[in-house]
Amino acid sequence: MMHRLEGAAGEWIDRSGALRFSFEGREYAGFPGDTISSALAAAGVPFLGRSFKYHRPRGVLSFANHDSNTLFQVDGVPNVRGDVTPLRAGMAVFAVNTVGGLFADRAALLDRFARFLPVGFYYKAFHSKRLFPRWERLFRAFTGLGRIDLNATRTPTPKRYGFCDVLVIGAGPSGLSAALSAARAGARVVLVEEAARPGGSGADPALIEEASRHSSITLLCATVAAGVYADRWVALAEASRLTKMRAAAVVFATGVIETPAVFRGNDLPGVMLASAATRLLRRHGVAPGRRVAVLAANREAYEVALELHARGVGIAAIVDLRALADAEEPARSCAALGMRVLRYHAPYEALRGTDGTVRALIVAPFDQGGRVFARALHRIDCDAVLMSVGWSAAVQLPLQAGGSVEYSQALQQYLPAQLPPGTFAAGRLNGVYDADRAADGGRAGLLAAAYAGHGAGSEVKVARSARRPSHPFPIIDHPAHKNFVDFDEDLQVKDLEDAAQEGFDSSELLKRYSTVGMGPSQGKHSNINALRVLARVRAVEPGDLGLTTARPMYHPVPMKLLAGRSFNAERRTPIDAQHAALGAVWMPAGNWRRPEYYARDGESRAQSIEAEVQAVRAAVGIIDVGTLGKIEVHGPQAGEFLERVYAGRYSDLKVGMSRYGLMLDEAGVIIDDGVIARLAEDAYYFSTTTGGSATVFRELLRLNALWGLDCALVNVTGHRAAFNYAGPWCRELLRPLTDIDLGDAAFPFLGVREGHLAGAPARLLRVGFVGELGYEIHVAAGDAKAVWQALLEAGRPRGLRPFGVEAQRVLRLEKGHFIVGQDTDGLTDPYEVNAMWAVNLQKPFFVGQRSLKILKQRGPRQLLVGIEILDPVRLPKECHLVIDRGDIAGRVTSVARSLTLNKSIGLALVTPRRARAAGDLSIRIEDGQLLPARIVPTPFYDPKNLRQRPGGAA
Amino acid sequence: MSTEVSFKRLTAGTRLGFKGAGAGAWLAAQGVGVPAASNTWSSAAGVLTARLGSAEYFLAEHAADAGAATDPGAGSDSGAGSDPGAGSDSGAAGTAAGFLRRIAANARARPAGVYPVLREDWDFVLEGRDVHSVLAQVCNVNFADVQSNIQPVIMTLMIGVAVLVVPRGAAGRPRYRIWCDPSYGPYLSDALGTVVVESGGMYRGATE
Repeated sequence: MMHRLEGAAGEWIDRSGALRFSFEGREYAGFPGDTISSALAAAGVPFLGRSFKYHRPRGVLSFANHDSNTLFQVDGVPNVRGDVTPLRAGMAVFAVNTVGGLFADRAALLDRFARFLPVGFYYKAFHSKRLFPRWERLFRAFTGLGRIDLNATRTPTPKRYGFCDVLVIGAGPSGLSAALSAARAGARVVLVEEAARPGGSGADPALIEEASRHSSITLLCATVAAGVYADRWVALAEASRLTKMRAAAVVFATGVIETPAVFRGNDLPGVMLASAATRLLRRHGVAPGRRVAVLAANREAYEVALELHARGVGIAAIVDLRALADAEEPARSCAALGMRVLRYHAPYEALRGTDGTVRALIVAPFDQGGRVFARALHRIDCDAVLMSVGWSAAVQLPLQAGGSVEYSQALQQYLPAQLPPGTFAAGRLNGVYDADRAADGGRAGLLAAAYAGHGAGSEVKVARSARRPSHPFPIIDHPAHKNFVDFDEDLQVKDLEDAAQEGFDSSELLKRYSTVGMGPSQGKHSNINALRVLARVRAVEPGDLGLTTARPMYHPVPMKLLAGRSFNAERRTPIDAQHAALGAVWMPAGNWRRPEYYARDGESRAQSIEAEVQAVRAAVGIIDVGTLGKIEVHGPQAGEFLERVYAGRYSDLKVGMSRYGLMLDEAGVIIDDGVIARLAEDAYYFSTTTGGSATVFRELLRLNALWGLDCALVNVTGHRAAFNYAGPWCRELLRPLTDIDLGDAAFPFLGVREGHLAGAPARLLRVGFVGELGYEIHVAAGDAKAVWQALLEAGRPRGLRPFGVEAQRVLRLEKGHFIVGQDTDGLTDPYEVNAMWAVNLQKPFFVGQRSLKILKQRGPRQLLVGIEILDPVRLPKECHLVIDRGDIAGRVTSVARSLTLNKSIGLALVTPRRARAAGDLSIRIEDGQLLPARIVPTPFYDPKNLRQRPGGAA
Repeated sequence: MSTEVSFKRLTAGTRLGFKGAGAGAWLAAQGVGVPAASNTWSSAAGVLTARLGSAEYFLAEHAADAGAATDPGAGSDSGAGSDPGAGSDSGAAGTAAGFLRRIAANARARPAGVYPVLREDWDFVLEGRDVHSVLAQVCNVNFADVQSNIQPVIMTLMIGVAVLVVPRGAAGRPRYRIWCDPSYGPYLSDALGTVVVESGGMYRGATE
């Protein structure tokens, strides 16, 4: 049983204090400096969690910030890592993934039915469409790692950018040396360490002290380098903050991760990695047991045996998998102390005691082919088994940086092969073990500093380790299985073999099918052994298989760190406050906020929108259209530029007039539209859609740079306000406010004029998206409030109402105008929305022209048609399907109830055959019912445009 | 030691923009001190001129962050240490505005290769000893390493918004003038103000 030992120098706990907490409802105590896991282990709690699939009891495995056996729900927060989370007084800790609690988990029954849960059973279960919902409910009930509190309060966390010359990842012996050598060369160094304190697997205290005190080194402990991105941007996740660190050079001193031996019962509580036992012992004074068996395939196994012995822990045996164990230190010291060493032996099975933890280890002779001589089984009574059989290099971050790796047969681990400029590897990651690690770190630090412009670098060569720290195949078969490769996902050797036999026999396919490496530890303990199993199946070497793609995040990062403060860069027009005062109900439009409608006392939403529509039709209305993109193009070749980017002709546009413009992409797809006005021979002013303004401007800048025309683009979207003043009374109401002649002769339909309005310089465009006489009034943002207020005041005697986006949608729908992005999709071309009138194919060139000619030959995929809904009550929704004789024939893109027309109208994209046939069709609504509808011509309202040109001039 | 950083919006003074191949020469002919290098700024007669890229210019009243003329509570312009011309700026505010208005009037004649750019930017000042800890939370430019002596203009994103930043101030008390598109003004003001306050600094919100 695990227990607390007497105090020793260097431990992290403060034995003078006590922290009381609860686990599964029972009271325990630990010390300041304990983690949740170390406190529970010290208290002798037999097991700490349940496995993901079979609900097997589990204890400490790695104690290295990726121990999926010790995930907890703490004070309502799921996925808390007990191996690194500091103990706090009053914590209420629960195991996750149990039914009825950790010690009486009813789901433990699943362990007896393991053979009915084969590898890939998720996929196999979901293969049946009929049973899909049932399986889904079942899986959701039995899986998961804790419960999310949907009422939890949001915790905004700051993000920050950091800058340094050299970033060193890992503060073990090599990382500390790298940081010091770089700092001594004059570099500003940031040194990050995921543990709570520096030192790694055992650095010289003097080295730790010097690095910690160096003025040019910023040491960040309990910090995970979670991802490496282009140009040496590294995401550093601290407990409550994410830092995006930009480093001139990076040293990866990420070390190696201990991997388990694979044998039946290797997951029993009490069986753990030797490095976990070392950390528990040194940092927290916790012994893994009273009589410990050590599985050995490297020097570190003997070192931990000696350390435990020195602290009074009994060593039952050292079971060495190798043919020849070390004849030198520390093996010789172990022998001198009388420790029993079994060579050529392997663990065949760990036996469970009555308390659920390990009570004995069955071992047997083992040959280099991985075969166990099961007839020569031998029992070793013990209460803990430590596994020290190999390591996996932490190469994921160098891989994310763009590096490559190669498999070393000599070391039985992956090593960095090539690293991108400015990145360096050091220490055990680099294949340098033992005392040479510090020298290798120093070398890498000097090279990194030189890359960052400090010092002359280093000519030192540090040789890779001559000894082999990892066994090539520490995997032992057992007819009864339960020899786990991946503890996160309960994957046994046979699961991986079965997956390979089923055809998922590459590392990437095996991962996805079996889920190996997809649990909380992200394969840190399991990937290398899974590769070994797959390599055996395929009769190749692990190095022939390759690693799965390394992607950020390397380590799970709380979502709150990624969300940061959750700023939303929302744009507002200059009269935002005026809208609010008028009762605006807001809606997002692109990245703007716009009034959807203006709420009034005694009116429902629908009534307000209808009243706004009627004000425009019968009197006058005003809408803020300042969110439209507003761009100027100046210069001798401004017209030529517009000829190229828009599908229509603009070089012949008269000064003082405007024309509709359709913008296409190279494929001939409609991407934007607007109105182009000619202000002077060499100056145009044009609008874009609200959502497309930023994208369109960027694209235009790119095209202008590409074409090199003599013109300049100016984006005044945010700097100019714009209002649409529309309705039969608008002209009369405007006259007293402006010095511009509004008569039809002086200012015809589609004209553009500049002058003053309400005392402010103003640009007026006589256009009509809503189908009434109307003027778009463009003024500087600073003049917007005064002009808006003057327009409101002027219109008030005639019953003016400000109208919002919803009313505008109804008004334009009555006119049959389509909205790009709503009535078009990512493939819609001008043929399909009957907009070829806005296209001039005779021009020498415009973007999308070539594709349009091809599309003309192909014919339309769909056609936009007007529809009238014949049901007197119900309305379909946008995106509801159009049904023709039982088949899908299209979808509704816009729909509204028109009070003006006293009917429900809409637009729909339907198949050309259906569009040409016209007549009746059906629309399937939510409950599956069919609404009758009919294809009708557009515009629905004022088809001769008389309302927009009451004077008849054009 | 308490955090020393403050953020405030300035009441906008006159701002102008020009673009085009002839803009630099024309502005020089108008008496504007045109920066010789791209992405730098100069100051003369109370007018700050920022050269944005090769052929775009932004002109603003340099005294707008200087004192009572524009912001009664703003205090004195401690940035004068790095700006030889700024010491007399506060007295030149009215002159500078008139000068800029004359330039705007002259531009209406549409000189060749000179294209006026409407500038209605919101205008802020962020300053204080600990200002870089705030900037590190909102922008990926390492302002702590910016060489103020070359009078750089920094065009970058700050919390997702395109901004134009002019570093000023003396050593130990950095000061940044920040302009942004007016439609992002309320957002930048609130978001940056939140960061400043959470960092222990002072924030004076948007003024109408």
